[in-house]
Amino acid sequence: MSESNKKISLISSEGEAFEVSEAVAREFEIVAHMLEDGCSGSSIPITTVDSNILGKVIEYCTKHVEVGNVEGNSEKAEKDLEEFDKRFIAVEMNTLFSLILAANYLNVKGLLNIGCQKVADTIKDMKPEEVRSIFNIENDYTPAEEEVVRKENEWAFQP
Amino acid sequence: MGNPKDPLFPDEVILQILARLPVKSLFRFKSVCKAWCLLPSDAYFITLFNQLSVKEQTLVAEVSDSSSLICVDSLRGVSEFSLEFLRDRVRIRASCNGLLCCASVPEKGVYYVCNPSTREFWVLPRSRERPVTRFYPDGEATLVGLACDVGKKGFCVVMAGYHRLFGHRPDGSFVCLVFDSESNKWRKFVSALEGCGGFTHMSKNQVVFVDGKLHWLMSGLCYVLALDLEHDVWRKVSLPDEIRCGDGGGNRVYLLELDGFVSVIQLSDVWMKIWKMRDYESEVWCVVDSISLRCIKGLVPGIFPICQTGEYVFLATHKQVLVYQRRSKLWKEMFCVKGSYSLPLWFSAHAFRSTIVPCNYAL
Repeated sequence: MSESNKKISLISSEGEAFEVSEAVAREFEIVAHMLEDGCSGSSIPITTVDSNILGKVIEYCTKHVEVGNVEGNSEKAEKDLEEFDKRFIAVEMNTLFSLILAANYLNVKGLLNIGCQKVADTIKDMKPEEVRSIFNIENDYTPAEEEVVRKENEWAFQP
Repeated sequence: MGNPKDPLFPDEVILQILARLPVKSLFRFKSVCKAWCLLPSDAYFITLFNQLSVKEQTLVAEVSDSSSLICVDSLRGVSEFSLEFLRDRVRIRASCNGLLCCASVPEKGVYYVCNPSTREFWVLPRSRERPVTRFYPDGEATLVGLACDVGKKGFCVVMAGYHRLFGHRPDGSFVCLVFDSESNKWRKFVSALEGCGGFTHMSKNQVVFVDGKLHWLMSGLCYVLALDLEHDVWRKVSLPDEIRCGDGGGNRVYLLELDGFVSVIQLSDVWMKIWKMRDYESEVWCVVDSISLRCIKGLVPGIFPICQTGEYVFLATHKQVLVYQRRSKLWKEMFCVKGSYSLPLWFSAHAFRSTIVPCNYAL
């Protein structure tokens, strides 16, 4: 890419500016679309993401762009990246949720992937009540209805 | 999801998370709320879930007497695997994208197609023709295949073999019965197909469904026999020259799937070669990996490759299930039968994927 040296500022919800290369900014599909639509401004406000999370998302994208640019030895690079992803996503619940929301809003597919997988791995052995409270979902069953659904899927409750 | 509390995630993120759960958790979480309860039967969600889950490959095998089954997963290890919901003693005959075709042991000619992950099943109607019981004196068709496309609705079961009367040699007509779940009916066609007599136990068990066609390996190592289900046509697909010419005398060859491609694994005393048919129409094969068997030297005569992905290969011996991680080049024993006599594990081992492909099409 001829314009790979061009810098773009991403502005967090607190108004803090993060200067990144265009290649990194393009990892955010939402930004890539803005650039394609002729949005030529060099600073883009990301109003729904705070500095802490935006910094992390940029760290993720920077690493993936770097590795993607290295040619040759793809096997080692792939393994490296896998290790990076694993460490990157090993964060506490609230940060993880914020990362997923940011990845979903900014449309960073890879990050959304590993984030959702991490949540799935975390909740897979939980009880429905626990999942409800984590996701803040209201139970819209009557007790009788819930009992029926539970009975039908009794096998899924056994260890 | 239309409730007064503010849910943490928008619906599209919830779907992405739930599509990455094991099937069992997904069914447990039906109790979370009404919307989640409907998901496992929602067409969009089923496709999303299956596209993610077909990438994983596990191995299912019978342990000791056909009453107990195990499922071996490269990440999660060994778990029990149950077909008890069928309430019959069955033997697995074919496996495809999360569905199994099982034959009833006590009742000849009764076949089930089931999804063990969701516990749905469908009893195939008996064919009005009688040929299924006349293929072979033991009442079983020579070839049994199961075809289901994760992106499409429905499945097909195929039974085929030479027609022969009891006590007679086959007369050269290859009889094929196809059950289609869309019509819930069997159709039959007969082809003149020479030289398809030889199938070993393993070549009967290893049925590969790729690109709308079912594939079996001929034991003569000359070619792969393919059935095009759209046109009801049999075709012979050539194996790589290196295998066909048989110059590496004593090599064993097995038919497997590799991430949506037809693949064969060739075993010599010292190495294992993984071939992939890169181009289906022009029958172009390539070697994707060549693996030294030095680390498992003593086991080589008794190992059988069962299933694989681009990352790992599952193999079964008489008493063990092994996995080979292709990237790290590591071998690992995943399971070992304790106790004395049992049927060899490879004898009953099948590839299996945990999906939520439906098989219950109540008419």
